[in-house]
Amino acid sequence: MKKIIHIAAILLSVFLAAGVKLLFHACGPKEDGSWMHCHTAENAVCICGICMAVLLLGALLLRGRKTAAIPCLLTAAAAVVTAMLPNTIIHMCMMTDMRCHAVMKPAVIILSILTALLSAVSGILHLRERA
Amino acid sequence: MKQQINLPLKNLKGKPVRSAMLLLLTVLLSFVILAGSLTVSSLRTGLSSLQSRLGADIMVVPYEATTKSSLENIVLQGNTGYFYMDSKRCEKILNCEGIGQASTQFFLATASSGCCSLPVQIIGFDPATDFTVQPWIRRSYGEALQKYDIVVGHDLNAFVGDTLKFYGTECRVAAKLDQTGTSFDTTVFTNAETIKALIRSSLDLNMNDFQNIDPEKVVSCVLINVADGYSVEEVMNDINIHVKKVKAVRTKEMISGISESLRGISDITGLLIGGIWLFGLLILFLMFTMSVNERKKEFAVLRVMGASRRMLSAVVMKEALLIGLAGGLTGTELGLLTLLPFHSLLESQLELPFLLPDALHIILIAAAGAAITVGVSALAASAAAYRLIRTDTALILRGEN
Repeated sequence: MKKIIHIAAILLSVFLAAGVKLLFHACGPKEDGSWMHCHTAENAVCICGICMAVLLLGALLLRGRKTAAIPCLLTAAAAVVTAMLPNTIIHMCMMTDMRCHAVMKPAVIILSILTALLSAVSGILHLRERA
Repeated sequence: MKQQINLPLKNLKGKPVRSAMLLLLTVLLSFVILAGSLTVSSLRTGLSSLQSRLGADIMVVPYEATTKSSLENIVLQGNTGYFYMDSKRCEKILNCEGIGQASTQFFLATASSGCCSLPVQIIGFDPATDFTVQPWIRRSYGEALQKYDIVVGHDLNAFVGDTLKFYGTECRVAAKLDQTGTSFDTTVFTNAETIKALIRSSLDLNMNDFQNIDPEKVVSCVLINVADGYSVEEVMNDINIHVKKVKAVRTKEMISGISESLRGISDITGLLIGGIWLFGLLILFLMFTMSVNERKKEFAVLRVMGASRRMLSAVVMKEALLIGLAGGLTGTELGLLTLLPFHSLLESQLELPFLLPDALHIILIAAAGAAITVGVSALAASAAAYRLIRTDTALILRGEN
């Protein structure tokens, strides 16, 4: 069960990193080719997704119970920060009916919260594991 | 007693595939009822919000605005644009008979705003005469707007105290309006003094194509409420006959197209929900009947062991209630998780006024969706339970039934 939760968290963070670029990306470039602020948020979410996946993969390699819990709990904290990236930490576009608000923001929030929950549960299970 | 509670749970766990199929079906049913009802309810709330926001009987605009169909686009669809008429025509309109309240408005579309390439519609109103915009601005902002103060619609990513730059002129956000589910959510409102200054700035920067106008001598439209004793039709005809180059439009007629689209969507959604539910009820009924049929011997053995007919039917009903409750709650949660965060996407895809109902209304719809799913599961299982209690145990054990 612990392994399933851990792998689900890895898959979610990979989906977050890839999805924010391919599926639920932010607004496209302007007519003059320049990008809007929401593109920065998109890039930041992608980088966070990759970092979370790497952390969780690293936790898989760690055998000691407490050491494996640390990257999981760190990922949970990073996922909470990722959920706040669109518009709370990085200001996005003017109108909330634009793609970055209507599609990217809710998708990132939902996926990040799920990743945070699964990583936290995985971390707690690692802590409760007998040495 | 404990066994009576545990037995349905154990039965469900014992047949995981069958239980999962039943659960999936009930999840789908409750999801459909919640998503459908919430969508239709949001469209209705959006339309009533639009009706109340228009707030005037008649809108008088320059004739060319109606021929270019820009009027409905700007007022109802949220497109940006502008049109102007000489204020002398406005005086002629005000001299017509049967006018109770009248106020002028000014439209201006910005080239871009903040970081985004999308333009924003600015509507200027006359604070001394306005009766359509100020009543709902007052809900968010009680004071009079000063020069360069603006009130932003709910869907604009700006907050009280922020500064927005339009045509090089900095404006202070004095208030943010409540959500309306209409194009007004992406509109900026300001007083006549500010919008005239912005029109002048746009002319100075050569950013708009209306070169020959004097901002002091133009208006975009006149909003009118008819006086007591006059009909809207009478006043509208009077203006259309006596004032040249303008067109008086009944605001209710402007939203008739939206009402028809909404009725169409409501009917189709209702039919789809009905169809899916009928199909779902039939499948649930068949699945519960098949499940009871294949477990006849199991129930017969329980009868021999002393279980009463009532106890057996209670087991079947409890299984159905458990499935219905789990499926109803999961489907409702999935529906809420899909519709609430992505309502802006749905709104832009439907291109109709869309306003989510208040929290209490949403909770009621969700509770009703879950309750109906539980009820329907119980109804589908009741037929199977009824057949079970009428079957002769001895015949089943002898293999004759």
